[in-house]
Amino acid sequence: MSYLRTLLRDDAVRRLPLWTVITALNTSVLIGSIALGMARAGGASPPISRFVFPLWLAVAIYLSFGPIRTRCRPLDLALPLSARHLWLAHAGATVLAGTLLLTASAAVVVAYGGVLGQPWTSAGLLALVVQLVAATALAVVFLQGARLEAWRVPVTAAWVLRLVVALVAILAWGLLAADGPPALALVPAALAGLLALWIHRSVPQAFDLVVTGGRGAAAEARPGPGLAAGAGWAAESPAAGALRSGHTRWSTLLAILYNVPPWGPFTLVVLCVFVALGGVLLSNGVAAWVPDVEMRLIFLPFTVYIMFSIIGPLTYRLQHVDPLPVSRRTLFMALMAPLALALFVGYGAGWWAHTVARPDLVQFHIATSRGETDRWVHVPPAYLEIAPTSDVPELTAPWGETHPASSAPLSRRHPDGATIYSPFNTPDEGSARFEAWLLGRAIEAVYGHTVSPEQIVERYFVVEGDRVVGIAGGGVPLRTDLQQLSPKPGGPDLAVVLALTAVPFLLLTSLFFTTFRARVGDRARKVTFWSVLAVAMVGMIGHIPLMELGILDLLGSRILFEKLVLALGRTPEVLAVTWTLAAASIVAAYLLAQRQFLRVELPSKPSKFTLVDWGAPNA
Amino acid sequence: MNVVELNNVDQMYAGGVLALSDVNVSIEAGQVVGLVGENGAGKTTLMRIAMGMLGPRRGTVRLFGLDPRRDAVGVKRRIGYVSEDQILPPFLRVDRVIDLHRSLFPTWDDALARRLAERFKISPKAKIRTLSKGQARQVALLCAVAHRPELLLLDEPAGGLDPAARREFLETSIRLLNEAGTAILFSSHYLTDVERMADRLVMLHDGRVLIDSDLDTLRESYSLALLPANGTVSRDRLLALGGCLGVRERSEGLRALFALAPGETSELLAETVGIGDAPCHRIGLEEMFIELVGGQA
Repeated sequence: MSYLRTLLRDDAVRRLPLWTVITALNTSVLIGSIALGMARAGGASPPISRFVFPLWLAVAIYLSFGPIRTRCRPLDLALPLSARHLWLAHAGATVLAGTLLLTASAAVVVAYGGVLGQPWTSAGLLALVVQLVAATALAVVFLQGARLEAWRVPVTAAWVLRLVVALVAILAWGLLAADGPPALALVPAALAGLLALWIHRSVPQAFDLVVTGGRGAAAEARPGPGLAAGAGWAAESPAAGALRSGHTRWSTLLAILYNVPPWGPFTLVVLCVFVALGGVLLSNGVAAWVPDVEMRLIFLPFTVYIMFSIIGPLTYRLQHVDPLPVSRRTLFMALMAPLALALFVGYGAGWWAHTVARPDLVQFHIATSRGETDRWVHVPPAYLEIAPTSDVPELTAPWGETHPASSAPLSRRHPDGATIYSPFNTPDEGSARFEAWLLGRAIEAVYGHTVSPEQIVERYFVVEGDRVVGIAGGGVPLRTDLQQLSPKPGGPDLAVVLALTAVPFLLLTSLFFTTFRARVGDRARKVTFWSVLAVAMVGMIGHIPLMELGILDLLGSRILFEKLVLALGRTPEVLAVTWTLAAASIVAAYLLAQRQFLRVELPSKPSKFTLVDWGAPNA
Repeated sequence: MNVVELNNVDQMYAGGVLALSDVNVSIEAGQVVGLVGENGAGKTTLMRIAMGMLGPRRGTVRLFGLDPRRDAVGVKRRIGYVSEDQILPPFLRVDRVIDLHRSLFPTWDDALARRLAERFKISPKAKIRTLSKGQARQVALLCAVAHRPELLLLDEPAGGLDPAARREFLETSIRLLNEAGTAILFSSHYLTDVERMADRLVMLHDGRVLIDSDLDTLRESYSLALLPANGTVSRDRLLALGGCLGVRERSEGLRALFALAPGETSELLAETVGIGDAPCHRIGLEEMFIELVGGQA
């Protein structure tokens, strides 16, 4: 069989269509974020280095979860093909797949550039792709240097380390060479060729079919020759304690349940990290370091997606515990508790970061562009307003100075419809005293603390005539200057966020468990699982085309959400009702999902519910 | 009270595949019941329903008088279960698997577990995935019997094992526990095993119980008649006779299985179809299985 035919039969190539879709979706989300950032920066095109991360992530996900470790199929070992032949074909297939995925990712960037009217088709992007392809080739060869005797490289600490090194190297090369000449790519490409030659010579004549966790694992674990000769385990360790491992029931049950493909023994850690990340994002914890972002609501479907995506794989080991006298309620709790705990911890961490960092919720910015000076007061979205029409109120200071409020239509398609406006900003250039009055109003609204316009002008503004032309000291560090400033009590954010995350997740989980019945086939179960995930993914990225079409405005949605939460915290009675309703809806959804779990009838052969090649079925 | 009581149980799989149809099986304490049937006959489904891992679509299931779906924990604590598919977690060490079972079964007998571990020569520090198929099955058996269950369910437990390992496995589990009055239901394709170990045989075919009888009765009261293929009697006519369980058409003639002793079969044939000299003889389980499965309409 020719190298080309073997290469085309390789899973790295055969699964390319699926991975291309994943890559395109992934890049779309990231480029959407860049587009948002660009819009915030007044439409300035980002430097080429901003595209390194989205492109790198595409190849990083593929190298982490794609069919990289599997060098051939077990059947191939029975064919008259040498291991060197299979190794070379697989390495080539992986490099080819990486190249095509990087190209697909770049195509998405170019498409977005077209939509946004940006020249992202520049030669710089092409050069970047070339650099990343060369670095990926080197990384692939380096990865294929692991466990040369194995038909499939087992997931061990050494493999994970090798993978991390490879991924970091690609990213580092991308960042270093982003602005360099394309010829620079010859360096990693040549290294890849030399390394491939060297490794190829070390590949044995045939791969081993039986691969264990580590090089010495099999030898350690298998009964020694003494056993085979009849010495027996009893002779080695007759003590009763020899049958005791020191592990508790719970640690073993969790070790069984949370050792599933694709993450194997790392499942619980990965799950906790991702769900906790969702919690941090939902708590708006990132606002401690970066200005408040409009995307917060997108993290609701994101977190639901993350949580649900793990539920399918977690059913993989239920067959081991199903015959044991462990109640289904206990098992269900064991599946749900780590998710809930990680979400709480993430939310708590975000809230804590926000509290410790004490960012200024009210900020005053001034910037000059093309001879014009813009000033604006930044407040949290909850303090912006939405008017039913484009007729927004004017802002009038106590001394009579009046200016229109800054505004923007909620939907670009309906410029006369509902309109977002800021009671703290005007597009006009007001007097310094008026600008200070606006800032003072914002401070009072957000913190409930009164600062006179005169104090603000004197402490923070650089004034020429009666206009603000700069900020004294370069910034307005309100919470440094006014230690007593603390935000007014907010609404029941945690209750609302938890309910909006947990209830859909539990309902979807409930739906998924209804497919675990003897009369329902495996195909129907898989279709349900992947369909639900697709819906959650649409929730994550669906806003991008809607925004582009002017149908949806993320900021408007966010304002409505935050104002609702704020209103729910206005009186103790409403607050109590909100918490009660949130708790009741979560408990009800939990009980519904649990009810379906109690009825689960597991198939004899479990499905993995994962697309990625990480962990053999028996691993 | 019966240990196992299945009444009018139906079960259906995806695509409308009927796995069990109107199955009635009861097992008393201390009985050893062999469950046989061709692949897809419904043996595993019956076992899984008895374990409470599947619910019946129709009918009632009681173990120790309890519903195994409702009182799952209480019922499973009294059962030992080994199946060909029910592999132990491959990444766990043997001692950890045993520890888990010890903690879940209040009646766990450490001395028995040690005895079995010694007998099977199991290395407690080995991971399950490093064991041979036979060794892994022995660990599963140890876990299933060391809590001295009142009911042992063995679903093709010896499948894939060599004859010596199979005999060792079955003798250990069945002899050991049955001496203590444990009821045992085991399925097997090896009818010699069933003949040697079981008191009673339940044969399933297409989800239905074809035979449910103790082995002594089977040996005494079942016979095979060989009838000439000269057109004097048809297959349908024979099947319509009372006691005829199946008829196979072979080149040498018709082979009819009757739930009657050989003498009774000869008399019946003479009276009803006028063939008084047809040879009738007792048959072994394996032959009976082939005649039954092959002789169904």
